[in-house]
Amino acid sequence: MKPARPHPSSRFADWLWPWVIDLWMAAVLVMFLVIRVLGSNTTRHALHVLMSH
Amino acid sequence: MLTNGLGAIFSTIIVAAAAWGMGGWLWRRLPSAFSRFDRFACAWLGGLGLLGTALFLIGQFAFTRTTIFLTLGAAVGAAIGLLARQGRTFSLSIREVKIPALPAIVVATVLLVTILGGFSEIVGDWGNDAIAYHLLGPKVWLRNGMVRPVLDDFRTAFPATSEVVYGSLMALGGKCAPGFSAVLTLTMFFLVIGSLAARSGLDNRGAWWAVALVATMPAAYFAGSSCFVDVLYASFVLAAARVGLDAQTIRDHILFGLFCGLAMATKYTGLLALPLLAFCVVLRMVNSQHVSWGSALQKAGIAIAVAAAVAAPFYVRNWILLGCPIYPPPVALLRFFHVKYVTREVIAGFQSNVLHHVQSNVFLQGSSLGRVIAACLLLPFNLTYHTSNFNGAGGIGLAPLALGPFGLVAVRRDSFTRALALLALLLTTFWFVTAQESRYLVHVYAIAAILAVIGWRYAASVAPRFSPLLAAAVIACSLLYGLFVIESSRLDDIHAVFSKPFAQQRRQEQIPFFESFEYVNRDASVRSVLILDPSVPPYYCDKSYVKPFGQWGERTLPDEPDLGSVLARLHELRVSHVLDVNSGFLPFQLPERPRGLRLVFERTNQRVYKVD
Repeated sequence: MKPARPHPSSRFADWLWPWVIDLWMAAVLVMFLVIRVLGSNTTRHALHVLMSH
Repeated sequence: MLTNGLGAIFSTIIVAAAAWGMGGWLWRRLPSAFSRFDRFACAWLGGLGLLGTALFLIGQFAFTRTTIFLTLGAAVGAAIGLLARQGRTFSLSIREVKIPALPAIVVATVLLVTILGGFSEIVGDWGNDAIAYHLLGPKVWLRNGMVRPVLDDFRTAFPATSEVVYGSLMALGGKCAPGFSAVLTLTMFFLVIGSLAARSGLDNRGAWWAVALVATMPAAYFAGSSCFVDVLYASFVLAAARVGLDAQTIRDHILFGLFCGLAMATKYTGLLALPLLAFCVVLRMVNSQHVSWGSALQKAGIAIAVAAAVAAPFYVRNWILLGCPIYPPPVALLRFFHVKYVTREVIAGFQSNVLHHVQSNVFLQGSSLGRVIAACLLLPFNLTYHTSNFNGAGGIGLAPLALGPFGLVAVRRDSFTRALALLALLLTTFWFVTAQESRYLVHVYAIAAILAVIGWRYAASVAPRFSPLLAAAVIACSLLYGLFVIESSRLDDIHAVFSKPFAQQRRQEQIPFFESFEYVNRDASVRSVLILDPSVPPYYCDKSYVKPFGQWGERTLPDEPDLGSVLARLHELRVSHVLDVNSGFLPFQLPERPRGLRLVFERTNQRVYKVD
């Protein structure tokens, strides 16, 4: 007996969910880089020094 | 430094042993499903709470070095007896603690920084809670030989499990010992998180990753170091959840109530945590253990009664001495209680600061998020990225936001962790509508870290292509950024330990009116000092003192006299000297040549007079 084929919407969810997980984690990391690293006073100060030279 | 360091180490070891002596009896009474590690974590923590409660009760009659030594001696004796009887079980439970290398390195680094920084003296001004009341109370109690609220700061009437332990540490090991003892409270906190993480479905490795994440959360670390009491409070709430959510028998519920009571005996916020804990425990009993509502409510009632009995000494003392069990009371309670030493306006100002961090008088600082829905929805984002919104609390890392939601998805069928997540949600909601101070939420951060590690596992299995790498990056960022913030914040403390000139320079810079305190503490003719300015922190005064006007507007003398009447009563107050300062908050209170007073010491913005 053949196994029942999964419902098309379930297949779509199975395909989409890993992408949601990856994108969410990537977004949190990018926001960290932008807000806490590039947006930090130290980076701003370093950029200011570089630009002034 | 060496004497201070040895004193701090010795006293912390004694208190750790005494805590074990006080909590050893819990070992066999904890729920039967508990592992040896769970028993060790909960019994040791419970012992510390019981030790603080016992010292508080004894301290109502005598808080002297003799009574402290006798109490600690008896508890250490009990610990030795337990060790002799259960030595093998104890060593097995220690051997059971197998920490994987990477989390072990992270946790050890945090503890090492705490140990090194703990040898330094805690300094700061009246804005530092440790100086303003966590350490002021114990110092005055030891000097007066009795535990009584210090009237010039009503926060010394707060529940004081931690503070009486600080007093004992000071008596045994000197002024650095309370700060050093953070290594003990943080260790207990980590053990309870490890126990909770293991029960939430994580293996040994995952549980210790959760501990490492919490250890590197600056918001959690700062709440447990430098004599703050929030980590100990959070440990009691987590231990209550650990015991309560697995409780089945009446005895289990009595122990659940014990930990709830210890939380209430450590911090007023325990009063809010108790109904939430009881609600989650009842819900789990009814939904998962198929207990009837009647039976579940009856057991919860027993737990609440036990909690009330354990915390009663702190609240009954306040009721008898100050007129209200909760002191200072919320404004709403003023209708029912006649409170002493504070006016309605003072209480309203303090409550406003607690609830809104508004600038209703010059003492206050910080800002709250507001209580609109948008602020609530943005809370995870703000806690992760905008940490300065919470009085510069330092953040909780990326892992809870990046991985926590997937942890929630993963545990949706596990009733224990689901109940734990519900508890975290309720605690956060109550926090959001009451006091939005980051360190009051440390227990929720611990639960969020556990969910994050569960989410890490889940993401790696469901999305194996990129998520292991992304999750590793999230964890690495959390740990490294947290370690960086924690270590850079304690660099000055560690520098002060190894450099005497730097330590002295730091004392001069950070202790307000340092020269006057040096004079007052050194000069043998100074017996008692009248401190006129509310912003002067009396913690630095080693002699007895009278401070008629407190930081928040407290009036400490009978009849609430004004300044002129206070000065007319100098001999009645039995003060030998008067400290007058120009603090920036208030100018000098005394004229150039006050009658009956002789200027004996003067520096910039500070004068000390001798009473003729």
